[in-house]
Amino acid sequence: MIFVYASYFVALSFLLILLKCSVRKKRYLQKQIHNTYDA
Amino acid sequence: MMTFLNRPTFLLSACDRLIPWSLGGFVVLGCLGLYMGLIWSPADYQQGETVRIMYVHVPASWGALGIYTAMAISSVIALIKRLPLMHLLTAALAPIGLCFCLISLITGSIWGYPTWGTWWVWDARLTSMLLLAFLYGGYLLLINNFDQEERGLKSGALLSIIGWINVPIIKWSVDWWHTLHQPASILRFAKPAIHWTMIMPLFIMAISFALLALTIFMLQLQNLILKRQLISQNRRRRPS
Repeated sequence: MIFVYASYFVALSFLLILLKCSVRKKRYLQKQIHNTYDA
Repeated sequence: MMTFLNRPTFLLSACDRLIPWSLGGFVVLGCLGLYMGLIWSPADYQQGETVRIMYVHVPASWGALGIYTAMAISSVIALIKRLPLMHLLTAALAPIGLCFCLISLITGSIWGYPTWGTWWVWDARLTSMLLLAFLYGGYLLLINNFDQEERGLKSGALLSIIGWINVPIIKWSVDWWHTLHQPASILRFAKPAIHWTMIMPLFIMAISFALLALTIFMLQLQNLILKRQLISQNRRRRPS
């Protein structure tokens, strides 16, 4: 079963890291645009 | 028909509305798929419990091939119709495809060790899949390393169209050459070769992966549009 858990861990961690990075980048860009408008 | 593809603000708001639904669908189906894949479905009479790796390996492989095909189609449309946003669609798909491709290679390797007795073998299916990962990587390198963004996107579009030749090679490599990898058992002209108790969790996991890919795709597309907005705002503030 260790091989099964390792595969699920790899798959889910890769996808969730990509999701988290995308969300963080979106927040960063929105903040930058907001700051540019204010300036 | 494609006028909405020239309206970034419409795309941004449409993505904002759709993201919670696709993410919610992924969470629900992902939990169901995990339960069915890890607990509900039976173990294989030959491979035992390791067959459960199929429920992440196969959807990831389908995703990698499907996303590359979508990239090639959107690149063709972008070059013929001269729609800049179609280039962004292609660019938004690439990181997700690369992620799926790496998942397919790594989980395949983990599955290969207990089944074949080796982590890696240079057979046609594995090698062509590795080539697909290089194509995804090459596309991302191309679009991010040109002084003029448009030239990078056009070069990337050409690479994705030419590289698509690898997709049918991956699909039929197991039939064209003698490989250690098993032949197709689900997507084939004859009846699927596996039992419905294994097909059910496989399709549920495939749909949940597709929903997560859609969520990430919409976020990536929004990021690319926002990045362009930021660049144009900065140019207006600091005219050269």
